[in-house]
Amino acid sequence: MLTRVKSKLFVHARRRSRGLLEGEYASVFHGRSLDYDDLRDYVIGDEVRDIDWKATARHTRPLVKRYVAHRKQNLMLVVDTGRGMAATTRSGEPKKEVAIAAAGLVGWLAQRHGDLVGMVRGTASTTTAHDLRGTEAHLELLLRAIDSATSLESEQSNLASQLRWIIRNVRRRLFLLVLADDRDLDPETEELLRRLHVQHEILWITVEDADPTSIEAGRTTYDVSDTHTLPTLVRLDPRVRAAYAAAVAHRVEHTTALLGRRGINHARIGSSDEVVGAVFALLERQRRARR
Amino acid sequence: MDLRSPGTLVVATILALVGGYLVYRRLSRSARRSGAAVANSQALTRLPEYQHALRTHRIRLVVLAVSACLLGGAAIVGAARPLDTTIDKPQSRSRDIMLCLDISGSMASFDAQLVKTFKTLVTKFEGERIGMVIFNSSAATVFPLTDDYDYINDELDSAEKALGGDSDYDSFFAGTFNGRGTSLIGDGLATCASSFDRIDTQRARSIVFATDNHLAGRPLIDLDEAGQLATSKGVRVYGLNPEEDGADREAGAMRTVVTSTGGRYFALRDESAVTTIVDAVQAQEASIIESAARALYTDAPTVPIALAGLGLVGVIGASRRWSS
Repeated sequence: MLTRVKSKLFVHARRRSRGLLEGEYASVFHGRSLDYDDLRDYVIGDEVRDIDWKATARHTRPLVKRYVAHRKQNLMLVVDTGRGMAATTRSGEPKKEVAIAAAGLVGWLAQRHGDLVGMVRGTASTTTAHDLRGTEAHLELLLRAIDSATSLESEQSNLASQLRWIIRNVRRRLFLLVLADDRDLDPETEELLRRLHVQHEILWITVEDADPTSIEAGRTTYDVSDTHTLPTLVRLDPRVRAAYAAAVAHRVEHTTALLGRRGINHARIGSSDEVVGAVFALLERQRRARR
Repeated sequence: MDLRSPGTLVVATILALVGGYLVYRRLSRSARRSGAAVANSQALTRLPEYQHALRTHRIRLVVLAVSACLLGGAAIVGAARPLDTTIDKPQSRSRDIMLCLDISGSMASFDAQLVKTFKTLVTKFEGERIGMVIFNSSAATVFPLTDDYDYINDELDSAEKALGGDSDYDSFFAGTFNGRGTSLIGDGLATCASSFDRIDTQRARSIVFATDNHLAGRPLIDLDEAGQLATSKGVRVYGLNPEEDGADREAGAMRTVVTSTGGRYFALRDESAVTTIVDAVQAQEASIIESAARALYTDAPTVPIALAGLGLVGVIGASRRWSS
């Protein structure tokens, strides 16, 4: 699983930009101590104040001080493993693939950075928590857990259950990476977010649903929640299409505005190929917002 | 409604059901293979546009299904060849009535009225065969015994016009002046009595004999002999006399002859004449020519073809937007 995530990173990002992604992560997840470790090349995204100007002056390229992480950060993956995440996303893959790719990427960055990665996953009725650990094997375990827990036979999705669990059970400060189903945020979730945001730092990734009005006519399209089949002719009707596009645009706007009000950065991903770019953009925004 | 080949119906229905099931299974299999699961489709299904399109879609599906069933059903029924069965009972009542009209000069002023009487008479009968003979110096058949009442009425109409003096109908009298003299009553009655066919079969035979019995000439057969001929053939003669001069000697002779055959004698002005004749004729045992009832089968494809056409229109109409 993790290998796949890494290969995606290697395929889609050149070495330089991979470092860039790490720099971006490091800037976001300040885990600095005063114990100087070594110097490395500056990459776009690094904090300017991390530049070692003296060393840079002796060198031709700007260099950045690296510190031994003093306090380990805690990255908590909050993953919906309900039935909705087994459905198709925009690219045609199951949504959980996108979730795994995003969780794997951020988790890997965290683990490289020396941070601990844990997970809270579940459905509308059950919530399972995984320990915070800093090994690659543990991350692999988490990704496999997401993969095996999410199927078309799972319970219905409801992320509010997981958010409530965190509020109830987590005392320390966490970085939350939320991998959410593509649905309107109800007032309950909004309230939970308000309370969570006080204590934790939140990154929100919505895994997009496939657009039923653009799935080709040859494929029977049904809803995972009740296996209700959407009649091909009806879902491909041009008027229905236009109305649906408008409704989706409205929902995205609403979700973005809602999360924006809470100061939560938000990305929508509809393909595992877009994960690297989207995560980078998300971290970038997060870095700027924290300044 | 009968079917010529009910086996076709069974076989075709079974084939249609099996075919329908196979198509359904194949479709549902391919649907299962290539189905796309989506989540949160309520966002789509809640849209009023979707609801509206769904309603239209369902109506179209219902129309299509009904039309297809109609088309298939009608085609199957049509393939089994529906038949119209008519039980044909040949109802020829074995009563023959010969209208026998004297058109001599002495009768000229009554003939039109007599033909009217005949027409009234004809309306009372149904199924009986009726023929007509006119005579003057010789007798001629206007129409032979027939149960074609339209034809009979047509002929009586032209007789009425001819006897009313319409010169266009002069040919009506052709063949009645070949004998010696005029008004040869005995010859006329004898001709009438001989005009019955199927002599070997037992039938009720009657003659309505309209004459004033005023003989002018020498007949080959006199009235008495003609009466005996009629009696020997079992023919009843009903006399109808205008009685211009009251009950004269000729009228008395006619009454004698007529009653000797078993018939009745009436004066033309006697209003009960028609009904009495009808009753008397109908009272005679009608020995119906019994022929076995037979069923006639004719193909009746109109209903299935019409229904199939309707179904086809429905199928085409409902699936027209299907392909677009």
